[in-house]
Amino acid sequence: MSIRISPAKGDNLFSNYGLLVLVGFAAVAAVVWGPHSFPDALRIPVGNAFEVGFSSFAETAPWAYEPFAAFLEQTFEGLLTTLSSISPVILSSAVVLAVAHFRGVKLAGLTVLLFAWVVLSGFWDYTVETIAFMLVAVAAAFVLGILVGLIGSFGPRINAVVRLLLDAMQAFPAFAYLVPVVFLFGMGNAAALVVTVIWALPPLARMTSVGLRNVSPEVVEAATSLGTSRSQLLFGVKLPMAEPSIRAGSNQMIMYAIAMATMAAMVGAAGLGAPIWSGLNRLAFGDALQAGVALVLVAVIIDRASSPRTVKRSTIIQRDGSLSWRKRLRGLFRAPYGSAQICLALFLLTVFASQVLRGRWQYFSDPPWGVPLRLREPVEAAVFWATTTWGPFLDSLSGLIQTYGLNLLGSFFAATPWVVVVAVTAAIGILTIGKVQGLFLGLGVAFIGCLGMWESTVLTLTVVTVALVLVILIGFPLGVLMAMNDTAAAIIRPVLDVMQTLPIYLLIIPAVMLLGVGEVAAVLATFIAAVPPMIRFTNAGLRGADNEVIEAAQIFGARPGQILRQIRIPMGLQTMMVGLNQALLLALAMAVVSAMIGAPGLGANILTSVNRALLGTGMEAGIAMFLLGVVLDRLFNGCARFVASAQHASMTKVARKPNDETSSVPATRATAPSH
Amino acid sequence: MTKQVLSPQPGRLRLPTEQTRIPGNDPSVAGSTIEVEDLWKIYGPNPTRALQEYRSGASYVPGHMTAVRGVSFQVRPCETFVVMGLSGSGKSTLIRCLTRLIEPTAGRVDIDGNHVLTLSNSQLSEQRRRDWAMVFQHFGLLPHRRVLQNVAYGLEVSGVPRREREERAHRMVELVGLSGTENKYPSELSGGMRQRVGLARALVQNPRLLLLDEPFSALDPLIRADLQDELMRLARGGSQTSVFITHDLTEALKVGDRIAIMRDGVLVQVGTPEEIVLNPADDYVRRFAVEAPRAKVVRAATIAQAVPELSAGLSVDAALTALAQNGGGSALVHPNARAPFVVTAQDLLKLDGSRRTLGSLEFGTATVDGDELLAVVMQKLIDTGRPVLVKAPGGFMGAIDDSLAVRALSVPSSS
Repeated sequence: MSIRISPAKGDNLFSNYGLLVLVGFAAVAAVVWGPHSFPDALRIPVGNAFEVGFSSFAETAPWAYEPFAAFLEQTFEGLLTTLSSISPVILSSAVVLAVAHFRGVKLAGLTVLLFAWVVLSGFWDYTVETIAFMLVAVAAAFVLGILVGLIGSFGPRINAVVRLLLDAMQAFPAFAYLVPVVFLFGMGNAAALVVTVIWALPPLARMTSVGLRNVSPEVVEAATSLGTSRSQLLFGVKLPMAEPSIRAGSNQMIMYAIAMATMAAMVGAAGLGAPIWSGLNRLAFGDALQAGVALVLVAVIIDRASSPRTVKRSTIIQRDGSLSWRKRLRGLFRAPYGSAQICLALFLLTVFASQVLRGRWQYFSDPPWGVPLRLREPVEAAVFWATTTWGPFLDSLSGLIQTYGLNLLGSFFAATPWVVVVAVTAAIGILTIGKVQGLFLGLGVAFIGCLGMWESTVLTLTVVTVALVLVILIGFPLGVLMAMNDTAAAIIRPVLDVMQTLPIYLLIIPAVMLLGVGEVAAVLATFIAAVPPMIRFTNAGLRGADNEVIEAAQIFGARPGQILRQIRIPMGLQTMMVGLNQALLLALAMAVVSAMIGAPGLGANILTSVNRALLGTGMEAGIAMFLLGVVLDRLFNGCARFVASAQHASMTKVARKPNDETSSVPATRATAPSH
Repeated sequence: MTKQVLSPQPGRLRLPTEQTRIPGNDPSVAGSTIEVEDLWKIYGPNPTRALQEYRSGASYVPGHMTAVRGVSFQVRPCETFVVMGLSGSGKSTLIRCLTRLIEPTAGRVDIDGNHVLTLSNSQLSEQRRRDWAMVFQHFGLLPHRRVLQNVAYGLEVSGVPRREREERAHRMVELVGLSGTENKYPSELSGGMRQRVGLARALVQNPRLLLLDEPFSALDPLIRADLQDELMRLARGGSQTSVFITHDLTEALKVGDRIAIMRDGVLVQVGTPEEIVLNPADDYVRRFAVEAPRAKVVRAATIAQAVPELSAGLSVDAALTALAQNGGGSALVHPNARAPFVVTAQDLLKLDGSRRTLGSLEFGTATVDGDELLAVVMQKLIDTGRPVLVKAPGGFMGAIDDSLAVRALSVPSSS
């Protein structure tokens, strides 16, 4: 029953006035202060402070974090030893059978494909490492995420604090987490596990607390009116009712974890990330691709297996204790569960086979016929063919992007005095969001300069902007195509699904294969990472138009083109904006990762810091990236809302609430709309 | 005091006559008595200060929302007390303040001699588990539990062993007519069935006080009528006091022994359905009252008009004279051997044999109890085509003819 105070009419006028003053001030200042780059005099040694702080922390309080890391690492080692000691034949068939039983034959088929691929590639050991790593990291992140979510549900004030913390955690670039973690834990699995847990925890925590707070108040009231105690309310009512939300959060958490686990190969994590990383380093795309395919399969399987959409109703039901264990066991072998019997038979068969075959199949890393699958040569041949056949085309394309995209924009940014950038940011912020927030955005931009990251940020921004222009130029027509043509939609949708399941780290492989190393390849990689939500949300926005309005237009004789232009696009604009916003956030995340293929800017700084353990620079670049992300996100949302409210104030059918907490977060993984 | 003595039961028309017992109900447990005095609920940054300002005469305190302002009333044991008001009148807040689902700002709530507002949390829990139950507008069922477990939930919370609680829940489910749905989930049931579950969940507690917050508002009209009947059937067999919230006057008139009309946090009028409809306290209540189905509210005793009794030995002519002296109309004739009947001047004029005595005449006349509803009286008027006699203890209080019935039905223009 809060009373919302809407701003008075005069407020807007004042903002306009303030805008003029600010811009005027900026112009004058730009002329007076001469140099366009950020002055060194304004540097704030944030990095040094971090270095000093972390060093003293590491010296004085290792007890605060080391047990946790040690526990994670030991659990991982133990689990890895156990899994390795199981005969690969038995382990893999057990996994396949479990998948077949719980998630159906289709996914089990995919799992068989994964294992075949992995065995033929000689990646068995890596795969087992990945499985063990994921099990440990996910279990830890699950426990911690639920706990944090619970804390967040205690009250509105503590929830605000937790939300702020989670927002910050998610807006901080994934890559940049590696820096402080390596500083504290050194290279290796401990650091990788810690960073994975930290990175994967926020989505689950968020969804848990959202789920808990969204429990119908009437049900809570009903339970209370029957005399339910606090703990009974939590465990008997709230947690079970939040379960769908927690499941969705777990799915997101697992996807975050696998993305980070792959990336953590940079700091020496075991698993399938290692061959990708080394392949990229040696420019052996075939190797990277081969491991990449395995990882794609792992990611897709884990996603499908943990996705709340595919969970059978029966598995949810079973917990309420209405069926005894015996009944349930018997149920496994009855009609709808007939697969259990087949599975059991298969399992026994494989155990038997592994006994008969003894030594030969004992280790999948050493297939019996000794001819492992090798993608290196064919891929290199294909790349060679592509670059020679399409060479001129690719060259001119990359030249085009370089000349009219990167260079043009780069020189524009370089020619713009920093004061103007700060002032314009603040002015737009004030105009579209509010006075205080606008000023803070301006300060945030200025602070990037204070961190000494002005030039790097400008470089990153250039890559991101060019990539986003490409996203709009290519993504929007594709989205329209999807919306207008069901066949096209049926073809494009699964591709998008897979693309959005992948750790973005993998998306640099095709870019580097086609365009080699450099800024243009980084643009391409960023584009690939960012385009799916644009296509998806364009399609959703266009298809989501109110059917009644379209029928009305048809009655008036509007042609399909007119309906698209006059109805579907205006009505779906807000949804499309959401897609573009997600594309922006993904592009920012990718811009950092693409430093690995030679993109200059903040990502390069972070990469260097990880490699050389430069905590100060790494933190500065990370904070700059964080600020850039927050500023762009807020400005974008502000502008989108401003335009929307100005254009059609009456069309209040908003695609999402502006303050919806699950969406305004600069998450690196876009969420798919319902259709 | 028992319910039957206290007030006549309304809406008996469609009810089965036999009284259904609720299994597990202990007849020795009587319904609660509630006394509420000067109850306030104020939302806002500083409710205490706002309360002081209100008490010292302020009519509006900025920034504060007063849901309940100084409400006082009593509910008698085993009574069905209805609070009726439009949305936003504070009725839902009021019912929640009674059991402190919402913490009142000030006032006194006294249930069975317990000062509810001073109970500790554990005492409150104990009361809720043992004596109070509530039914909600949107049912408030636990979506992850089956019907049986939903019904048994309250018993489970208060630690009733599994076997016993499932048995009791099972019988309750049967009683509300949901046999066979025990293992379904609430999402698999229709709205009406869900509210039956809600009702069962509340009644299985065997509560002394049953609170119902617009329990049937979310349902279709026909299902609503079914459930109203069901509730009245079950409530009659039990021995609980009910407080029933609704925004529908027809429903209030149907289920309520007494009705409180609430507006802007204040009780405007408290009375029996008949008092509300026939003597509305102000224009606000009158606006509801004109919409009321009077035939189902007004009772025979209220409109019956006394008739002179003529001796059975009188001749028709003499009777006509006597009637004319009385200003026409009708008269009661009570022959010794036969049932009493009513004669009217028209009846007598149509007769040829003017010398016959009244006692020798034959006019079929229906009789009704004083607390019978007007609807029943009207049906008898139509069936017999003659005035209906209204019984009183040890005799007759009068008769009702067509014009009286019509007059009772007509809504007086606001005066």
